This record gives sequence, C-alpha cells and structure tokens, in this order.
Amino acid sequence: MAAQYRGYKMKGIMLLISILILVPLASAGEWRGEGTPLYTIAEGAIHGGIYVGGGHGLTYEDPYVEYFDLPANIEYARLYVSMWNYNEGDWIEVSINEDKFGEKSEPDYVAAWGVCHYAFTITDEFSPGLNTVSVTYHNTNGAPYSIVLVAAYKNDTMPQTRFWITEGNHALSEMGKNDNSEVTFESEPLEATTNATLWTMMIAGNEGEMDTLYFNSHLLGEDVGRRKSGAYLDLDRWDVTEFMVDANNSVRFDRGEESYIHPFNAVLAVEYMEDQGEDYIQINTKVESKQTSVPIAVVLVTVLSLLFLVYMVRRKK
Amino acid sequence: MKRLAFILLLIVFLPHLAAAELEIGMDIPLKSKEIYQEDRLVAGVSWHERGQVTLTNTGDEILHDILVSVDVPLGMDIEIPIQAMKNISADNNTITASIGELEPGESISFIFSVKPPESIQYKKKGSFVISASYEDGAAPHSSSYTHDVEVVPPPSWITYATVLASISIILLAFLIAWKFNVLEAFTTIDLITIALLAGLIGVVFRWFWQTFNDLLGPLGGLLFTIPTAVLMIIALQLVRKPGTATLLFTVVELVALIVWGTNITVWMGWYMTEGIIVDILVLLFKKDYADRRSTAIIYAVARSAYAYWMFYFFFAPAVWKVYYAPWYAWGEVGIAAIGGLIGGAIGYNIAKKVRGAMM
Repeated sequence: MAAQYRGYKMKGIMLLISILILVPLASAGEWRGEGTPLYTIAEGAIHGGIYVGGGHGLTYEDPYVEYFDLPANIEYARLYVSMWNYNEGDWIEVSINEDKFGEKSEPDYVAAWGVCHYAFTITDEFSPGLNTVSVTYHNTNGAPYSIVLVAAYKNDTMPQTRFWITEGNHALSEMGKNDNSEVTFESEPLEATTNATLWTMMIAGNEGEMDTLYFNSHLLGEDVGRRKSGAYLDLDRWDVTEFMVDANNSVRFDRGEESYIHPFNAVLAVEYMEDQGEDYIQINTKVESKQTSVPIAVVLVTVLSLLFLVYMVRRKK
Repeated sequence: MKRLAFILLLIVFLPHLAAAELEIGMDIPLKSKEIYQEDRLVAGVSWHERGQVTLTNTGDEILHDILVSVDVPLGMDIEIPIQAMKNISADNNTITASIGELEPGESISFIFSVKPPESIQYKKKGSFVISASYEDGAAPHSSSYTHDVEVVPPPSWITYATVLASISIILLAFLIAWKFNVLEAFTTIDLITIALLAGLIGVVFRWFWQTFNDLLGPLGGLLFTIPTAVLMIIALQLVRKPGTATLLFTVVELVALIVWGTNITVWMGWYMTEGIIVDILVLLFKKDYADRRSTAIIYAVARSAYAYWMFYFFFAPAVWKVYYAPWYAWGEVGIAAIGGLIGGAIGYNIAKKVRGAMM
C-alpha cells in the first residue's frame, strides 16, 4: 500500500517536471538566440549626403518621441525602432508628423531576451526641416531604446557619396560565446575618396566593461558601448577617412568584457573627389531573423534533475 | 468708509483679476513617472538626462515676447536636443528659450538635457531656477519658478565600500565554513541535490520567468519567486544541514554566471546574503528545516522580500544608477513577499512529498 502511494507521488512529481519541460517547448520561447549579424540592406552612390540621427535611450515614455531636422530631397530612408523585451503579441505603432504611418507586431530582428529591432523603409513621408516620429507600443515590461533614422538625400551641389547602410541585431554575449561581429562594406576599388564617415549604433553596452571597435583593424574606440546616448544606447559618429582601404572596408565590434552587447547598425559614407558614374541606390533582400527556442542549458539541467530524481526514488526502493 | 474699503479692495484685487499669468512647470528626468523616481538624478551616469520645461498661459490675455531662462545647478553640462521648439540655446550654465506668443490656455514645452556631475561625495540638493519675462499687451511681466532636484552620489566610494563588504561576506562565509567544517557535513548526495536545485533556479526557472513573465504583467516576478521559494524549501527539507540555503544561492549565482554570463562576481557576497538570512532563521527556529508550514512560509517570504528589496534599493541605484519610484519599488517588494508566501506554502507540500518519495 505504502509502495503504491509512493508510486502515485512519484508519478505526480514526474508529471509536474514533464509539464515544466513541455510548456516552454510548446510555446514560442523567448530566448531568441544570437540574432542576425549585420549585413548591407542598402547601398549606392548619390550626389548629396547621408543623415544619421536619433536617440534617446530607455525611458519607458509612451509615446516615445524623437525629432529629426532633415535635409530636402530624401531618396531613401530607413527608420529603426529598437525595443526591449519583445514577446509575441507585442506591437508598435509609428506616427510621422502626427500622421499614423503603420503598425508592426513582428520585429525584423530579435535576439537574446527579446532585444529587438523594427525597421521601416520610409522614404516619402518626411519633409525638409523638422520631423516628428512618435512611437506608441504594447509591450508589458518593455519599451523603446531608441528611434534612429538613416537617410540618403540628394543635393546636386554636393560631391558624389558612396554609402552602405547595414542593419541587424547581433547579440554578442558570454552565454552565446559570441565575441565579435564584423560587417564588410563590399565594393569595387574606390577611386579617389575623401571624408569617410562611419556611424555605429549599439544597445546594452556597460560603462567600464571594455569593448572595442575597429575599422579595417584600426582601433576606433574602447568602451564604446557605455550608454552615452541614453540608457543602454550608443549612437556614434567616427571620422574614418585616414583608415580607408581601396575596397571592402570593414567594421568589427569586439565584445571584450561586456556581458551582452548588440550591434544594430553600421553606416559608412565616403565622398568621391570626382564623380564615379551615375547615382544609384541598390536595396538588398532583408535577412530573416534566426530564432532559437530553448537554450540547451535549460534542457540539460531539467533532464539531469529528472534523472537524479528517478535515481533517488529507485535507490530508496 | 465703505467707499474707502471698496477702493482698497480694488487696489488689492484688480491687478490680479486682470493680470496675465504664466505658469511654469518642469519634469526631470523625462522618464515614465510610473517607474522612475522624479526629481532625482544620479551622479556619474554616462548619458545626459533629459528634462522638460512647460509654460502655460493660465490668464485670459495673449502673452508676447516670452523669454525664458533656466539656470542649471551644479555646473551640469547642457545639451539641447533637436525638438519642435526653435530658438533655444545653452550658454555656460544657462538655457535660454525665446517664445513668440502664447494664447490663453495654451501650453508650450521645450526639452534640454543635462549631465549630472561625474562624482559627488554626498547627496546634494540642486535647484533649476526658471525665470520668464513676457508682455500681455498692457505691461511687461515676469515670473519665476524654482525646481528642486536631488543629485545622489554615483556608486563611487559607496560602491567600493559595498564591494568590499561583499568580498568580506564571501570571506566570512568561507571562514565559517572552514572553521566549523560546514562543507564536510554535506554528503555527495547533498551537494548533487543542491547543485541540481540551484541549476533549476538559476537556469530553468530564470529562463522560464524571462520567457513568460509578461503573461502576468506586473505580477510577472511571481513566476520566479514562487518556484525559487519552492525549490529552496525542498533543498532545506532534503539536505537538512546548516548553511544549505547559503550554499544553494551561492551556487545559483555561480550557475547563472557561467550559463547566462551575468557579471556579478564582485557582488557575489550580497547575493549570498539571501541564503544567509534563511540559514539564520533556520537556526533561530532551532534547526527547523521548513518542517512546519509556518516556518516554510516565513523563510520563503523573508528570502523573496529581501532579494527584491536588495534589487530595488541597493543594486539598482548602486550598480545601474537607476532610482525607481518608491511606491513602485515597495510594490515589487510586496509582490515578492506574496510570491514567497505562495511558494513557501506550495514548497512545504511538495518538499514533504519529494522527501517521502526519496528518503
């Protein structure tokens, strides 16, 4: 009788542990894996320039508002809204100059514990001068880290500029054993260039935890991820003119001592000293975000615990 | 006499009845007030904190030529972000804004950002003094408003002291363990039990909580406090040795450090205190290893409330330089205590069954 009772108890415990294992597996897990390494979403050459601006860190404001003072004749614009704590059912709604632009529920790039990046191609909605971008959101316990705008604008009085806009969300973490992320601005040999500017955007850097940023193996900065553009946000501009090489320039984010750091964007603009053919903008296909549901450590610990429990109960019998 | 009194009343009240009124208000930091403490800045943050000045015409006259100046305290560096309002500038420690017109009932606001001092030794008060001059068509007016803020020290020496205290706690724990042969009292089975329960807390339920906490909204923390309490009570009942809880929570943090890469090495001592408190309670209750429902609940409530209190009132300001609104922080501590209460009660039942099945 006692043995039968123990058997029932054992079944109950096994059932509880099985539920704990199966519930997460049945659901879309919120550990989102290492995310998407940066890649070039758009590139081209334009008589004009590149605008990169935005801010302002995690504040839990709703609506979250950012202002942009834009030049005229925008030929291509990509708006980024980075968020903390994405889960299924969450959404954001973007308004531009008080006009509703659209709602998006599925982020374009998501990694780690729901650090995500929504990307929008919004070329025709902006006007010269001051523009207001407002984001309202449904995200329990989460909020925007930033609104960032990258735009290529035409100005015939300016020299021709070759540019690359890269995006993604690469979770460099101790857990994922990802120590660096590199993106190459692929190109033919660049003739007679000057004034090269690089912009980088990262999330979740910590002051004092030493990370490093390299451009063509030249050290641009240490502890770049230190929340200087707002809580959890680093949006930086670098003059990389002297570090340029003829072709295929690259930027590398090294995690260093950071527990987590997420490179989100790198934008390179290089001025030609003389025109190099016609202006063009090439839009590349978006890379789908990779997702991982359950970390292996979670499965391993659960299985080990289950085996130990079975061993202990059988040992008693 | 009546006429004289009437004239006197007119002299006193007439200017007020006809006067233009410009109401001045200010918010800093410009963050959700539901979460963050208002009017408190932390020295040493790496970013500029945003503030907002709002001007409201509460009179019934149109106000013209409004000139606002904001004197920023403590020599804080000023930045003016891009915003809807133009004609804002910053010079040394003063922000100046020029506003053309403000209709009755209309409000206008502008944003600025200031970088709190790198380091201050003690908590300091500072005042943003906002002065406005304007005209209402009849006469020039002026008004002013003082907005007090508190700037609290960054971790700096407080941090160093707390890190030192953390290391001292670790050393003390090792000393006690060595002096009283505490570790030798644990059998291999005990250590495996603790390691696996710690793995369940630090890996499985931490992930479970991170994954599903949104389902319960503000009560999401319960998804961690309840299982943690349950597993802690199971550990106490199965192992039944002094120091079990301390060892359990030490291993929890070590596991989290390895698996999730949480960078808490220097704070380890403070995390150990979650267990130390429970172990002290066990001794106070004469080596009652959660053998009664009441003691199981007391231990679980104490651990949960203490862990959340540490997070909101110690780690958040000292490590992350974030001050949560008191009602929010205490609300979270309260929810954690409820989680401990539920977890303690459930843990008692499960621990009894597990103990019955295993021993």
